[in-house]
Amino acid sequence: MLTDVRSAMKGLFFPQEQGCPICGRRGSQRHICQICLEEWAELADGFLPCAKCGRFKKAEAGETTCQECRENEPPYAIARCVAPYDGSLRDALHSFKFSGRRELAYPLGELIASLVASLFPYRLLAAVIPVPLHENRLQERGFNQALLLAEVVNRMLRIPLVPNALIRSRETHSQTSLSREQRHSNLKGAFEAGEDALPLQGKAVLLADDVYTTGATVQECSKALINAGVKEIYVAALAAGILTSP
Amino acid sequence: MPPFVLIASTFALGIIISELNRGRWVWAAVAGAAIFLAAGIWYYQRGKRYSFIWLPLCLLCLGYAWMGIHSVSFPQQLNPFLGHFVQVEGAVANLPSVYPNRLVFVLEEPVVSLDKERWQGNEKLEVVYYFIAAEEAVDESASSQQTGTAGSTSSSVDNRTTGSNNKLVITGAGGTEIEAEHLRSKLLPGDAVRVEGFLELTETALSPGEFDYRAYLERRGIIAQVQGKGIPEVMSQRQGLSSVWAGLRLRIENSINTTLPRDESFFLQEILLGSKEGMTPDDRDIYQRTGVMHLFAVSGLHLGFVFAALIAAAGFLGLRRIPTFFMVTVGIWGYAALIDFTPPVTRAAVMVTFGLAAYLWQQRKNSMNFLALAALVLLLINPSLLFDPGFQLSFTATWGIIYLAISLNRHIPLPAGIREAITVPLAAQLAILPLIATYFNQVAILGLLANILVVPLAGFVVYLGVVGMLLAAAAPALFNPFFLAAGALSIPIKGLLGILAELPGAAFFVPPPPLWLYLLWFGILLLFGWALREGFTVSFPHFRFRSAATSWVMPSLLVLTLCLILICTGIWRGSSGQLEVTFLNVGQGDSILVRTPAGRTMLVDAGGSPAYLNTSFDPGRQVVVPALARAGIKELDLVVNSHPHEDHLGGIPAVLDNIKVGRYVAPPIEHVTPQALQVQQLLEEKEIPVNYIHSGAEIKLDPAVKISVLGPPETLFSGTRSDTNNNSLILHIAYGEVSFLLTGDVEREGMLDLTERMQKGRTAMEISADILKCPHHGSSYSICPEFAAAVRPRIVVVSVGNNNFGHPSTETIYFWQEQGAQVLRTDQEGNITLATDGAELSVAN
Repeated sequence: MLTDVRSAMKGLFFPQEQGCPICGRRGSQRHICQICLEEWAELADGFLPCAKCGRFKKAEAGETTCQECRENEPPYAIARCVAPYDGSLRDALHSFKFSGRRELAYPLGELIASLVASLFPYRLLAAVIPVPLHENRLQERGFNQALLLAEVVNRMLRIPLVPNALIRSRETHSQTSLSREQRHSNLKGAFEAGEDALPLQGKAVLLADDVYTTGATVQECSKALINAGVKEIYVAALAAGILTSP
Repeated sequence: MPPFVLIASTFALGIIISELNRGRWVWAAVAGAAIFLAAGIWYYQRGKRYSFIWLPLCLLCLGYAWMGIHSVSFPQQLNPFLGHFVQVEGAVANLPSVYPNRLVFVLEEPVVSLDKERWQGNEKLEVVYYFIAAEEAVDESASSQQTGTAGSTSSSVDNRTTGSNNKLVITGAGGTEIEAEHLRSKLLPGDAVRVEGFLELTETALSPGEFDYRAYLERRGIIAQVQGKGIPEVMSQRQGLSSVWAGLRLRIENSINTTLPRDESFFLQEILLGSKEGMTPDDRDIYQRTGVMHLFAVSGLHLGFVFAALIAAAGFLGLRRIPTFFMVTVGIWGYAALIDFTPPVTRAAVMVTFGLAAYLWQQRKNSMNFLALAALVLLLINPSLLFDPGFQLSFTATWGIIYLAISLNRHIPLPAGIREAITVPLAAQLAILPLIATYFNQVAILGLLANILVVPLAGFVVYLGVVGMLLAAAAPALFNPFFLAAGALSIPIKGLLGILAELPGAAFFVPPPPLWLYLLWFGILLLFGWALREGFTVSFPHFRFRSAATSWVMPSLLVLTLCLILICTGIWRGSSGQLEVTFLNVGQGDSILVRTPAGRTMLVDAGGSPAYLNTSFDPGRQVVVPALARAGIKELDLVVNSHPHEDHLGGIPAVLDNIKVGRYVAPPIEHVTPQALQVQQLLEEKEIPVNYIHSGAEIKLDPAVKISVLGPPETLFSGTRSDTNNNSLILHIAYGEVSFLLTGDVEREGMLDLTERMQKGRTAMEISADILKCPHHGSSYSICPEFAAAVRPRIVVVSVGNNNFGHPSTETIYFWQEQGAQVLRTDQEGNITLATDGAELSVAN
């Protein structure tokens, strides 16, 4: 009882400000603070995104695209990410996805929206489509992180959200322990376009995800959408891996 | 939102609603508060999500009820005592203030008696003893009954200053005398005293925008004034904390007075103790024009130094947490007690106390929360303070500093310390701008520069002064080196401010902004502050992240600039498209403002106090210039002087000094007085063209309005009762079917002559008018049936104030009423505005 009164008094006279959702610094309330963002911008220092898949590669290389994209061109138009999947951005994504901090969706989604607004012709996009999560995984986690991010993009840029344009048709193994080739085969035919994708025929859409690692998921999704008649696909994610090969 | 911000603002909203409907439903509000509280608790215990919304509703009701309970008004039972010579016993509430012409103090729990009648109440009374200069009292003993409009009144035959060595003296019944300063030191707070004098209501504002002294006193629980006669009698002295504190203040003042010459001593007392008694109207003008008036309200700047000194002392003594807290708090609140807990110092003291607690106990310091808490504390003590300009200015300025200065800092690439010297005054000035426009009708454009230059110097004065005060309290030596140094610094400060105030365009007069402009201004400030604080850009190698707030910086800055232009120019008023004639309430005298449909302006006379009254009241400075400012007039196309008597000419120098004047017009009368010479000199200095005109002339101000000059005749009057009065300029103003006749102080001879000239038709002229300015303040010399028959006015305006000439005479009033005219008096109605579109006429005041 006494401690209740004490903490109530403390809250009344010396209230805690929420602060930055990542680092807790004061001054910024619902948004990621400047300092955290500068840290993430620094992660990308010295790298340039591949012109196609958006993964980060050493800036000095002559080619604009990465070797992988040159050998095997992905079916989507362009993919872009905010920063390399590293450091405190990786921590932030982990606490968003695995520690259930759903409230991070808004400040992180803002970043994707800003990325889309500055790099893609976003006014032409007919839909924002989240990469779907399988039913079992959804029950385990409670939410689809890509959907939450897509919702923010929808709200900020007024691109219609079409959450069921893609459907996961079969359960797949967790991707984390698999190599690049294994991932591709693991996902083969795992996605198909839903009925909601019908009106999107001949249009350009945005595919939203949290992390772009090997690109297997996004490529499979893109194939499914193209098969359903979608004309052009733009991909936006929060983080991407760093390419070691040129 | 910090909790106390929500609590204090809903409480304040309740107070505002209570004031708007005069707190009629106090008990309903109490019941409402109880119901909302119960509902909140009930919903909370049931775990409902929005149970917290009941709390603000409860606080709103509490604010309403609190204001309703606390508002003070004049008790009806005291009515029979008004205007009578009464005896009052009560306790002195504060140390008396000695102004150049009066001594003032407040009595608590007064017992008023008149013969056998008695009244006792909890309300307070203000007691005033006026001094008048001895020689004038003898010369013009009949004229000592005068009351001006701005509280600087004098009405005493008993009290006077004796000419020798300029000491202010109050004389008792038996010829005994007591010096004002000596009397002051005898009347300590808590002492029971008996005073005798006339019980009067104080001046109230008759026109909107004027300073309402009665309301100001009522907010402090003071309901009426006793104009004291004789010497107050101290019946019993009480030794208490307040008398000890008053003694300490006297000791400090004494030390300042003995150390420094008069002017420097006043300045130091103003800045250290917030006393306004020695501030001359000229000083006040300079401080207002440079936006540094806040230095003379003891607040955060002062307490900051006390705080720093005490913290350093505690560190030096190696004190632990609780003793440190105790020592600093006692010091801070002791200083606050020394200046009688004015709103700014109490605000600062609350904030410093909680800031210190947060620091010592390692809690998060949330200044906005402390600010709101301080507001709540003050409003709980006295809810009426919410409507007090001092309270509003102090809190708004602090809000601006907390909310805006930190945001501004991020965008100014200067080292910390120097940066704050710019951002803090900038933030404060932005926040209080509309309030200053409302209360002082001024925008100090150079205020920012003046503050940047002067605040550090003033800080040094305060720093030296605080140390000096400690020394004076400990050892009341005759000589105090700290006061000497602080006093010496006042010379560059006043010099600098004097130069800045004289710069052209340092400040200009503005009309009070309307409510919508207030809301827009603070809305935009909120948006601007937020955009500055949260707006940033981070560059990634492949794109640029702009936070959501970034895109609001420029638009809000743009709208802010637009609002600033609106407030400064007053163009939001637009033009009414009407002819407006305003009779300003300048006390005894004339001042008439004419504004044509096209917005051209003409001022006829500007009031003035006769020199023999020896009053500091200047209607030009105190009534006409502010009224012009409120009307949004920065430039007068024409200033007319009807005739060169003091009550018409006296205010004109202040008008010429403050307002740009296009042309000056007067009748061709020789009248050599110092005042006339002063006007002459000012006209030459400002290179204002002058015309001396008489009957037959026409003033071309606006093509839609015909202004003809009907008097004086070409051959001036001589040998009448008053030639100067009879030779007044007479103006006939016609717009469409509505016309005005302004007659100056013309008397019977002039009126007859005018009527005859019109009847003979020697000059083609029209003298019939719908509205007549009653000649000569309604004196009995201005009754002329022939004139009345020729003019046939519907409305007669008498411009009059308290005087000894018997103006207006009852005879004159009856005369015009018998003629079927409606009589309006400026001493009863305040400013009277007559507006017409050429057909319809409307009266407002």
